[in-house]
Amino acid sequence: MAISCIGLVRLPDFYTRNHAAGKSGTLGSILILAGLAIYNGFDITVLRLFIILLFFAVASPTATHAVARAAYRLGLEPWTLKNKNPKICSVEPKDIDEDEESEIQEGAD
Amino acid sequence: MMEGFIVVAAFFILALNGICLFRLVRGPSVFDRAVAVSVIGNNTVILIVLVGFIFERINMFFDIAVAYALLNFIISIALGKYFEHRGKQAQ
Repeated sequence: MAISCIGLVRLPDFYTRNHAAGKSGTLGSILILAGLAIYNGFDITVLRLFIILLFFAVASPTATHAVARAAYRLGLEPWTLKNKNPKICSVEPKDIDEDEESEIQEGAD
Repeated sequence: MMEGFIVVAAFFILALNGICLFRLVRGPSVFDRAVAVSVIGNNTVILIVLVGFIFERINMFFDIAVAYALLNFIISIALGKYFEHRGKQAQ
């Protein structure tokens, strides 16, 4: 989870941040919950801990995927070695120029 | 000894939440903020479970944690759907 948060602050663009937050955050949460279940001993409480654990394992990647797909459909440019300052996709349609609009349509296709 | 370890872990996760708050404030695009909200929500669910272990009232805190995890999941999905819809409208 520490890696998740550091990556969220340090990495250069949205997709890499999403990558850091999605995987290491999920793994850290699952490991902490499994450790607490072992510490607690066998009980009815462990069952509820595993419910939260399974929910994390399913829901966290799904949420990450939904946000990332929305960003890709809106044409947010990824950070590359050639293009180190990708333009920030604005959600407001008024702020988009004609050139940027065509780029967004290409990205959506 | 184990109690102290759990307290230390809870404070560590609280500090991580503070770090994530930086991205939430500074984030250049809306999606960065959405991801930061998602990560803070995940950390908070773990924090609630740890607090339940500290106070030894696990059953009550588990219900709160489950509700918070569901809410966090719905927030992320709804943000994704909403921005996708807005993108289609803009075109």
